[in-house]
Amino acid sequence: MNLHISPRTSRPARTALVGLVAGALALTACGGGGGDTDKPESFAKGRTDTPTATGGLDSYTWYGDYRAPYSLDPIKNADYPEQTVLPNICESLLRVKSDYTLAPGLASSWKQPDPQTLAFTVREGVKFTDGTPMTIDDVVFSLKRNMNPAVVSSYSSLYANVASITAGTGASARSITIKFKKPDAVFVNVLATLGGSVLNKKHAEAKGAALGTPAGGVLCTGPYRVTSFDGTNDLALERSDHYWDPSAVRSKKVTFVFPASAKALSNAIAGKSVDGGFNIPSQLVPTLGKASGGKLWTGAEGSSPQNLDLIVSDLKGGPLADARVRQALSAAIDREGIARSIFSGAADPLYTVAGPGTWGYARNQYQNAYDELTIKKDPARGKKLVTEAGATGRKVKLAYPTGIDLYSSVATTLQQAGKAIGLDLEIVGLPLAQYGEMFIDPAARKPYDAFLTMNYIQVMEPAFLYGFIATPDGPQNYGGYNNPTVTEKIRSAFGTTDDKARAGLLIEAQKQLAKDLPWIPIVAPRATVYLSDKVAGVPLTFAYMGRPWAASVGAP
Amino acid sequence: MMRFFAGRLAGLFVTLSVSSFVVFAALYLAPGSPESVLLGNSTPTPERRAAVREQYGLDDPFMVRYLHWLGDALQGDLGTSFVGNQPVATRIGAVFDTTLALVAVTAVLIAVIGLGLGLLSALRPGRIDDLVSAVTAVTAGVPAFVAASIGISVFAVQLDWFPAYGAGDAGFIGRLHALVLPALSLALISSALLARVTRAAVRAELDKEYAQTARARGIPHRQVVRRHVLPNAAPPIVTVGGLLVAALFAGTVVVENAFGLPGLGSLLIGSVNQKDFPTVQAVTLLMVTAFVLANLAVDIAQQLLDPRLRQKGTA
Repeated sequence: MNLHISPRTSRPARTALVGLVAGALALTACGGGGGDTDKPESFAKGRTDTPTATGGLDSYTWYGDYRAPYSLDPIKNADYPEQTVLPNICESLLRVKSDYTLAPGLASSWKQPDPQTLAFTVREGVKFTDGTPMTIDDVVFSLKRNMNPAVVSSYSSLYANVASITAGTGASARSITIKFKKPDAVFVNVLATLGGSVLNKKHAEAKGAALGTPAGGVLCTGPYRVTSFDGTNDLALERSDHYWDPSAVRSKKVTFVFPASAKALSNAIAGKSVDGGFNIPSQLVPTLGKASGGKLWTGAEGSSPQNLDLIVSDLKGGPLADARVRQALSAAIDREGIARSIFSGAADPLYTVAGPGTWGYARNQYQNAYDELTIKKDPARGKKLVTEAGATGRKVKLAYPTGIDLYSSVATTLQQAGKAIGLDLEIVGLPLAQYGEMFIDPAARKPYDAFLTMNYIQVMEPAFLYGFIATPDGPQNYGGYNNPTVTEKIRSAFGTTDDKARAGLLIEAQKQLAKDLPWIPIVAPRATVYLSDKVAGVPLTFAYMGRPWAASVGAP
Repeated sequence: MMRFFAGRLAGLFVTLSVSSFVVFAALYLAPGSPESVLLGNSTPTPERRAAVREQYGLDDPFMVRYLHWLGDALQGDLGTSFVGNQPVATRIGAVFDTTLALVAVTAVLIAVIGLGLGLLSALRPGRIDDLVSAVTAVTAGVPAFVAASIGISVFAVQLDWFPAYGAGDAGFIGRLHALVLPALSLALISSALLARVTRAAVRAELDKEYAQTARARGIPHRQVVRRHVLPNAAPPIVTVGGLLVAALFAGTVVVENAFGLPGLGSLLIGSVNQKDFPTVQAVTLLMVTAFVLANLAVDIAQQLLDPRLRQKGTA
């Protein structure tokens, strides 16, 4: 019984990753934080974009996240730096609008004629940055790379249900058909990630193993081409002369910089060495909110698919094996306090792992169901549950990564929550490399009952998250959760093309998960974007990861 | 002199061998694995994981891996980084000049500020000496990361004289401009120390009988200082100055991070976090080599400066 979305998708990697990432970035906990009045002035409820740019720029400098991309090959690594920078170099078949709905990209149109088939038409007149035309062959080759085990695509697992990818002939020569092994309603989203990006076949084959390295480079169709990259330093881009939609590109040059720590980023912004950036660490929210020469934008609730959770590493033994103890801990967590003080207000309490930031469709339906699962902090109820379970005074070992104030602050808060309900939470900080092992190696998890993680998905489809964490072979099902009814609902959802029906199935599964709590949701950080007075025109959501966003950046 | 060099070369070799072993072992024993980099951060199937471990020899016994690495390194092959499939030499080449330039500018600053203040203090007793002593006493206690923070907020953010981040615009002037603040932060403690050593050494010589006699004979003060006092005071100053400069290679890590300079220090930190064995090894060895070579230079300078040592060396 294999889940038709493979167990080892790239998405969950993000859990491990964001752990590390946040390690580098999300420091924080600037003391009390304060109430609603302290929220940044630019707090924009309901906005999905910063104001549109009105003019072009010769050049601007952008925060490319916490390290330089490991490779320019769009499918090699899936992490913040790659997903920030590479969509501007290598375009995908589809794009994500700021509200997470899909739009045409290198594919001019697409349709799903039946649950097992996805067909799209490839845009005409597209050229690679060297001027050679993009062919159907390039597209098929690029998509199929994700299925080649030798390539090790980060998106390979998302292709696990793909049976064939074929180009049309004759009159339909510009069309490509993807056939699935089992009905698949969600794969289309993958085409709007770097997993649906297109590169030049001839170039890729000629470069071989050097593809994507500073020496080998990459040849794609994006609005920008790479002019300087050495794998350690800044990465510079220049407008492509052959871009198919030249009017959409406002600025000539973009330089990405990669400050490794929040402090270095803050220095860079203060010294005007950086004009803007996504994913600003929450630690910087209070200071940048008051910065002169620029503005920190905080997105609305649901503007980011990031979720901070407590993963229960063993559901079969230990004090947390009893669902009542997990419910008790969940009830005792001061989610609002964490969002307010540790995230300086740039986060919201989270009551389901797939929160508002992951609803790419049927938002009202998801919202109504979510509202019903909202709980108030209730230590008294928690204490009662712990007593009922006979777990009073039991020791719970909780791991978190060290070197990141964010995690230690949350861990400490949880420790206090535990105390209030009669649980003895021992919190253990682990160095990043060791913490990262928890996501790969069951032996590394064994000494702990639970561990903290920050997770994000790029595909706004709750089916993925729930498939990962709650089906028996889900790659992020670290605790061994197995509820046949939940599994059945989630599996059916993957094959249900009707959005309403799919959301309905997932909502039913979610209801049970809110009781069983294999992962305990804590808070969802909001999107944070810094813009100097010199630049404008970016999404105020995580949609930047799914489109060549740098093209729309220009003078305000 | 030949024997001196031969001994030094042998010492260098032993130092490098030991430190490479220690670094390799430390990295090997530290928890965690490089797989999150090698596997593109995707949760791997057991087969895929095994294949990657095999490809990079991660399952080989420690000594096999170490000797394998050592053998390649001796043949000039520093290996392939786990990050992005790049040769380690290329990654180091991309950042080496930044660190070298930072160390060079810092060394010049230490020499100019340290010697200048030290001499001023020694030769102008009274108010100036008191003032310099007070200043150096304070700055000798300011760590580089504190100096960096203050420097950034005052000179980069408020006054906007220097960039707060990055390696600067292309071209010699642009690069130099970006290095001033980091180099100053790094030079602060060292130049204060050098100033104190210089002051003490020069004072000691001035107080010696030969200097007193020379002055009593009516030889101009300037000439006494230049001809006799300074050359005699030089050995301890050069030794301390040289050691301070040698230690800079390790000290760059902090300021490179604060100022976002892409140098060896930044590369080292990133590589340690990723358990990128080949890069960590190579960068560490490079730093150790630089330190040992700088020490060697100090020794040679000492030999050349001190006639008694020189005679012993040639005997």
